[in-house]
Amino acid sequence: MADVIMPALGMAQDTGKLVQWMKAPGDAISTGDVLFEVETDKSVMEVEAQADGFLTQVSASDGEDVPVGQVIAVISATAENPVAAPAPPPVAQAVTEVVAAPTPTAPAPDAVTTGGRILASPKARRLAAQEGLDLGQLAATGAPMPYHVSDLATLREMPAAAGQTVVMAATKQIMARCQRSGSRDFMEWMQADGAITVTTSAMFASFASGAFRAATETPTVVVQVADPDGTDIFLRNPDFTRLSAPVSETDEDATFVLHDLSDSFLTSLRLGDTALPTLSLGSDGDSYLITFEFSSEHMDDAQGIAFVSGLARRLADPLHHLV
Amino acid sequence: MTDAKTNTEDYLRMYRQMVRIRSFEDQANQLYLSAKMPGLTHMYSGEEAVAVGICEALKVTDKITSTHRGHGHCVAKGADFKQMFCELLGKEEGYCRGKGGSMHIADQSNGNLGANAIVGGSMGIATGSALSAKRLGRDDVTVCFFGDGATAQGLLYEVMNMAALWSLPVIYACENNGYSEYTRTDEIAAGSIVGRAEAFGIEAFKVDGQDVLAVNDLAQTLVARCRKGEGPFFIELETYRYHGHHVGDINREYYRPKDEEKEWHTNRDPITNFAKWLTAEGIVDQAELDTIQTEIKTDAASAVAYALDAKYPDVSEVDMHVFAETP
Repeated sequence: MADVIMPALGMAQDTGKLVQWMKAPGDAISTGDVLFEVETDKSVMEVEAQADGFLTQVSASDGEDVPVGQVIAVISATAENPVAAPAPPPVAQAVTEVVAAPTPTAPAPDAVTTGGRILASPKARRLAAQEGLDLGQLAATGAPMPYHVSDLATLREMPAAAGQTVVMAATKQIMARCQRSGSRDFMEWMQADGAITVTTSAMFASFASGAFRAATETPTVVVQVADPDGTDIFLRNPDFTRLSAPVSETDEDATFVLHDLSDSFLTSLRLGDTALPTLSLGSDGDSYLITFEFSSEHMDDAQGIAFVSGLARRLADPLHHLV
Repeated sequence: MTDAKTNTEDYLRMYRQMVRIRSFEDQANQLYLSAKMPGLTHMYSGEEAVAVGICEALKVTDKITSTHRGHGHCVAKGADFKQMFCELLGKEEGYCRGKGGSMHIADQSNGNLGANAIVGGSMGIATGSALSAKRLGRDDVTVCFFGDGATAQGLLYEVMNMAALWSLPVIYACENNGYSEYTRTDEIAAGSIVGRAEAFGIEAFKVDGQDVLAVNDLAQTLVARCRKGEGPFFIELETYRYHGHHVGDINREYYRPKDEEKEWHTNRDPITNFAKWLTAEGIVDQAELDTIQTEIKTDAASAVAYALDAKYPDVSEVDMHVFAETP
């Protein structure tokens, strides 16, 4: 039997935020399994199990701030008592404590003007869209924004508003065509001059990331490069990485999805799945075909147009990207 | 026969000291993670053969200077568990009456001039200690422990120059664990580590820091030569830290592969490998080693329990040891 504690991981750290359990109460655990994620003031870290057994007596839940050093579960030999019994009611408090400090006024809800926009993490937005949940319903209750995945639990519990059907925002499409010769010359030049092989996917990701940033002023752009035969890769700010340097992969939520069709028979994808903005790049003779699908949840029309125009300009003349 | 007997005692003492360091660190790690210990701390686990191999070649009167990853040096130089844990927890009975903590623990009684939170911060102190021994006509030797990252500190080059010019009885012991905090050392250190000392005409050696006997043999020779006035010397000890840079550095894959950690744990553990050698040579059997392990673990656990209950220093001690009256 071993206690699972909320670890102190740095100086002057009083609490750790239990981001989420990676194991459920009662699960079998092996030493080294990731038990939960904890967020400190520096970063989110994974805490591994120090013993074999079953996760039991779980007493803290996702999203909770837990004082460091507190036991939040026990790894025991059997799966009995997966969840901790509620703490016994406190025995009579010492009289002195009855003279309570004045109750602090509850902090006013964030007075940040959101201009009707719903602030939510990309992951929460994506999952909500997949499950057909309406974040607006949560906003209507006055729950403080921005919403995270943990808030979806509340939303799932809420009865769907009477007569309301969840309407997905309409998919919008923007298409463009540009000459391939500029990019082809650029790739040949990289090869001849620097012996640097640039793949089309890497180039597309880099140019698209740059164009997306310019159009939407997004500080961090994560491109999900779709791979129909394998695992999608997630590239963080690929426009900040030199094309000759190794890609920097990330497990952050994607900003948009990129399908590189240039080496296939496909020229364009219009799948109407608007969970994430989706970009496909196909080739047609001497041209690249750019197809971009998005919804008003992601950006406004002007931004979408600016993005696709910027990307086409970069592909037609890569110097636009480099300068 | 007498020699064999003496050797056996030396070997067992080295084994015991390495296990003592490992047990100390296991307890300290838990104390920290469970929020019972203030400050920050850095684990020595994995590097035990370095501290033990060297300190077993020293007399009580010889001096060492230690680092922010210093518990191993302190134990190896002869410190007591109770006073060490008291120090880590800020208690009155600690070596520095609780004022030093993990990164500033010093045990003058055993010649440990102190850990130092500044990377490379003790190089001047060690060299000064060697100068003082020479001036006073004592045959004390000083060993200066520091890490690979500390070779980037300018102070090292000033003191090596001085020590070489004045033939001081000091040994610079560079514990190269392959990582300077979160960066592979070969990404930050150009050229060879020993080459840095050789540039000053200092004899420099490279040794497997996981092999306690190899470290001890080399240290015996160099300490003896230091006493004869042939110092200074420089040793690079190739070793590995099992934990992160500090106790909170628990997700390390972004800079250090898990396979590499496993390789060192499985095939290069100084304690496991020394135990294998001791049993293969027929010096002791496994049961005896197991008994030693159990005894030491119990010792460490009871020292922790003692220190947790021990008293904090009185508030009147706040300026004690801060000012010294000069006559």
